[in-house]
Amino acid sequence: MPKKDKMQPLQLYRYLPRSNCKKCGVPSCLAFAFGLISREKKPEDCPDMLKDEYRPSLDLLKEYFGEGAQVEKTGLLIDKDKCTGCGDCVIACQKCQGTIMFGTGTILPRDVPDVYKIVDGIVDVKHWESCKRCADRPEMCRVCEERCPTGALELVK
Amino acid sequence: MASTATTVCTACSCLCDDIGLQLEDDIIRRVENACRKGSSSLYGARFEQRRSRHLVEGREVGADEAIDRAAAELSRARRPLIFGLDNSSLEAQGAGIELARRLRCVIDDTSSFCQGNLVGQILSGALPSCTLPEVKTSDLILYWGANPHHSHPRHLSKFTIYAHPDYTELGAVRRVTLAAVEVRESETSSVCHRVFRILPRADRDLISAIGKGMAGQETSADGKRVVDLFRKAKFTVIFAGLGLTYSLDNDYLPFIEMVKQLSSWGRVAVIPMVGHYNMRGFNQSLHKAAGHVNKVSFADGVSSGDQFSFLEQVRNRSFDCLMVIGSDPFASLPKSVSSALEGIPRIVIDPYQSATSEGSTVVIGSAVTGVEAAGTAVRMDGAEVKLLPPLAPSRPGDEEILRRVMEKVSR
Ligand code: SF4
Repeated sequence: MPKKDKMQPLQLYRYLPRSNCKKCGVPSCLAFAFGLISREKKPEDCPDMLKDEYRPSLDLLKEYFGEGAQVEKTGLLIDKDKCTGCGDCVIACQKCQGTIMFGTGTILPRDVPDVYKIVDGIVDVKHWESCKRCADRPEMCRVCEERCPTGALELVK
Repeated sequence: MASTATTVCTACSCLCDDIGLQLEDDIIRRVENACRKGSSSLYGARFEQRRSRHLVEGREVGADEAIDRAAAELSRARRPLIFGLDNSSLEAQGAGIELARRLRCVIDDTSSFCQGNLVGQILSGALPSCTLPEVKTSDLILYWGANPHHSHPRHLSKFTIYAHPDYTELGAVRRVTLAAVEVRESETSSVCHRVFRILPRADRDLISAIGKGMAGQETSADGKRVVDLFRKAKFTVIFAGLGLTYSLDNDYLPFIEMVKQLSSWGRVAVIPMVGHYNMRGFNQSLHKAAGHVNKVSFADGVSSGDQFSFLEQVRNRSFDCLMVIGSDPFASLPKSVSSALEGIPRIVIDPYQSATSEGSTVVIGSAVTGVEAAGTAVRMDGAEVKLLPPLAPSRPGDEEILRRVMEKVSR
């Protein structure tokens, strides 16, 4: 199965109570949806979701955003079950290390060790600090997520 | 004692040669760079429950007894059939072909219902090809009927688009294009720059649409778009997958014609997406020894034809003893066909237990080539790769077994 079974915020919003009651600590249900995606919130953080009428929605959201998901420093979520170890992310990430100077087209190279390594057939993060999201002036790069053919990599921030 | 090693993966015909290992007393503890398929195959070699033991009629015996019985069965048979060898080294394939010649029997491998014909067209010069390192000088990479993310997971990152020096994630200029012709959305098509979705078995229609487009005639929208892509390319590499092979039903003429026409616009090369790691090696070895890539009979000099393909042989029960080396045809044959083979003595040489080894007259457990046994293999592009086994062999290798059987065969 190719990728693209990720829940988008508006899609997710439809499963929430949509009352904007703020009991979860954020200003609106849509903000809560974003919180779920970035894994800062859990489905149970919404008290209304615990009511019986929302049981099916809660079960579904738990499947997507429940326990076990560990967001690493750069907002990266790795689904090890989906990873086939093709190594596309390793090389795509190598190829985006650098900054292009707009207008001139010159590339300022960045000589850093590889972010990823394939270990035992599954992607592993070796050097967080090499990720452009950790740079002095962070760049919200998404190349690895976009190139992952199975949807195993997700940048939730 | 802990140690490190570099090895060649033999789980597919990419034969990745950059696999790093950490070992501890002949046990693999960590595999680096190999994909999931490759690392499972490396770890699997020490999974004793799945490995085969030497058996004669289900009774565990020593290697000598199993080899003696195999030789006796082959000597007794009037029309034996040798099948497999795609997962063996070139050296073992040489021994297998020699054995077939000695027994004056039929020899075939999985390529007869897979990519054999395509490899044959390349070996005979009807289709131009190139090596995988040369792909790095191309500007159009086209996967036709293939999903390498399933079959050859590291193909894109090690040999094609991501390994291409002109490929960059920075800037807006694209110097190398990745395209796919596919019947469905696949992992590979999801990362391609251009995708041409066709209906199942419509490859021939697309080929003729391309032909019309190149001749300047009215053609389909897809035909036009593919022609535009080809027109701009200076060096195109087409990776032909099983989707194309099965759709053309092994009749490559229209495809060859298309490639010939395209060659007038720029360089075109075709590389078959070979499955088993040394299937192309078998085709090349047999081509060298007998002038054909598969389906060969040594009964009357050398002859080749569809009647000698494994499927036809099985359908007609044309053999009275079957020897299978490193292959599991029973896992894919319909039950009605495989059960028709009951009563025919079966000799299986395989490192692992399989549907074919189940209930066989003789099973000879062999070393896993590339992990325990050394040798040479041929990558999908025809380059020879020396295998670097990291583990000590727990059983004799295919080549040794075949040579010992050959010594004992009385013919
Ligand atoms: S791509 Fe093929 S050869 Fe390379 S590591 Fe994976 S299975 Fe092994």
